[in-house]
Amino acid sequence: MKAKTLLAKLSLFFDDNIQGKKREIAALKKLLKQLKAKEKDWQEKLKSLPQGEAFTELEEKILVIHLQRKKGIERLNSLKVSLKK
Amino acid sequence: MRRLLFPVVLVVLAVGLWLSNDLVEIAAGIALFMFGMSCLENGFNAFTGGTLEGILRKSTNTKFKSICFGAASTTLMQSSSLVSLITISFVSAELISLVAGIGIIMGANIGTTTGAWLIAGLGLKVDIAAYAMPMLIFGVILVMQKPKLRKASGYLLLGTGFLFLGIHYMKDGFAAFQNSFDLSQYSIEGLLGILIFTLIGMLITVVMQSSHATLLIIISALAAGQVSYENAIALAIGANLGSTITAILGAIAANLGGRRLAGAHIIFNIVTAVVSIALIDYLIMLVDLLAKGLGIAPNDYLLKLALFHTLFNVMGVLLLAPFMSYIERFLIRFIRSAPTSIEQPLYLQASALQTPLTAVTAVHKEVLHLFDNAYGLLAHGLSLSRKTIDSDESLTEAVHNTRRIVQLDVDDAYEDKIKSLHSEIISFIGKAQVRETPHQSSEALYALRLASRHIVVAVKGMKHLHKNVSRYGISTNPAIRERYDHIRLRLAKLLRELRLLTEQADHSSSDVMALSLDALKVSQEKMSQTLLDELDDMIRHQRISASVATSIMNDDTYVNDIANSLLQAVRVLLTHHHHSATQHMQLNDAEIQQLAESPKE
Repeated sequence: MKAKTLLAKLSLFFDDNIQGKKREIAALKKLLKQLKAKEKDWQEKLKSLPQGEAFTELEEKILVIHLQRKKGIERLNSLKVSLKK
Repeated sequence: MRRLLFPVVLVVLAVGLWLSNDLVEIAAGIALFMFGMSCLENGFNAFTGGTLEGILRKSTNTKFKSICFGAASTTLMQSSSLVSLITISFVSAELISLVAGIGIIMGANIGTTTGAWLIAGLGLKVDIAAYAMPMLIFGVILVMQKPKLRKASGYLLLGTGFLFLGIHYMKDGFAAFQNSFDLSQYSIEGLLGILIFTLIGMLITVVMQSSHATLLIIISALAAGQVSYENAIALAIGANLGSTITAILGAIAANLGGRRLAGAHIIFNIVTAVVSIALIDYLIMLVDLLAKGLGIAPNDYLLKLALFHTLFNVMGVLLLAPFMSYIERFLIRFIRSAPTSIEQPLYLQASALQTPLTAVTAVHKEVLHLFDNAYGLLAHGLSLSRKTIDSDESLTEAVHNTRRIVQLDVDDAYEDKIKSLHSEIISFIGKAQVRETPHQSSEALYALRLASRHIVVAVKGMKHLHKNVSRYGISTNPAIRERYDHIRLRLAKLLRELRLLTEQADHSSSDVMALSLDALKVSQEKMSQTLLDELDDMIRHQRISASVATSIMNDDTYVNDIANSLLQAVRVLLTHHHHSATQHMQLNDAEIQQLAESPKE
């Protein structure tokens, strides 16, 4: 490896901002995966529930989790773009 | 008495030092040795910002590992008191179990015997003062540096240097003392001698507050021929027992965890000492046998004393290690906190201030304790028992079937269960922040202080709400009763959900749980809107008076305040320990409002 490439890699490694973004991306990915699994679980559960209070409450929860995932994906994409730049 | 004793001791010491040059050397040796130990503690304290805690948590998941950890860490640090202090703070903060703490304390007793080997094997045979000087020079240079690690390394070097120098002075002092005064003429043979010298060893340790320093005196005196080998053995047993007294003194000011650990220390030391005295002749024979096997000369009493010291501590561990779980149960049963009407903090002890991690963990647990108290108070304020909310029972039915509203003096309950605890939390966080804390810990403490404040606000909200719940909660007017049932149900549902979440506050998927709070917010907002819509309708149809409607509207605002405060507090409790990724995924107020307003279908 050339000295210039090595220096560039080292400066990237020591850049707190970049490392912070990488950590956030990893944490977001993990969280999004957990939320996706939870949303799927709830959707399955909803199918077996009769119309009523419990049904409406679960439906509400699914709506919330869906919106949160959407926001998470947007954040993830913006982080990825800023890292590429 | 104590105020009088201290100057008397100082005057006696000053006269002694003035009259005897030998005593100056011996006393200077002890002083340097103890100062060295204090420097070592300072040095190792710098490593308690995360590294040591990480190792401690991983190394204590089995009994054997915790004993090994106690032995290894005490050998490395040459200070069982620092190891004990950190262990007490970890047990108090419930970061490790009591049984793991007992294991560490047992191991520390073995670890501390390496000091005797160091003094007997190296200190008195090699001119260690020659090594001490360069250590002191480099130590001072490093201590003057700014970076924390360099400073800590400097303290470690200084500590070791002063230990070596102390040993050197003690050796010279006792050798000179031998020429002018022969203590060995007072040696006593037989069981009486063992008991008297055990008592003397104990007294020296109590005065010096360090069994390590006592051992240095014993070994130096043995090397100079001032005490017989048998009497030195009894003194060593006494030194171990003496550290029990220091443990008792330390336990007076300690918390429950500290007192239980001190109890374990006392049991260990007393059982070991009693068994050792009972089997002293056999132990001496065993030492002779092992010494032969290890190639120690029959007349090398210094190393034989070190061997005895190790042997009798190892014997104590072998004797008691199989009963660690029984000892734990015994201590939990007999050492308890005194019940008081004013709620006492469970985790905020001075020992928890030892490291940033233990401080944050202690505050976190205490805020959870505060939440638990608030939960009980809020449940009673709604005229529901904790048991009902904790169970799977239908809350709608429980609320609907309420026949009597519990008259609760919220002011009194607030003073006893909430305010005192909140004040203790604030004061503890203040103390923790005065110390050097990493940025992340400071942020966590700040967030937890806010969470504690939110809980207080929630309880204060109940103070106002309870008045009208008492007045209208079982109103004969079905329209009013229904509205208050709605208010009570709304809070009861929230309490149940939050209870489930806080029970898993240390769970790895706490981020997912923190995000689930948004759904609760939406549900709360929706219920509030439903209530206000129904209220408008009722006023229009004159089913309730305008004044009652105003009360309900005010109470809805209190419920909103209580709910929001509780939700904010629980969010902190779920995410305080790490940089949460939920920040950008959480729904904002507008989004919550929008979801709450969206039609059901």
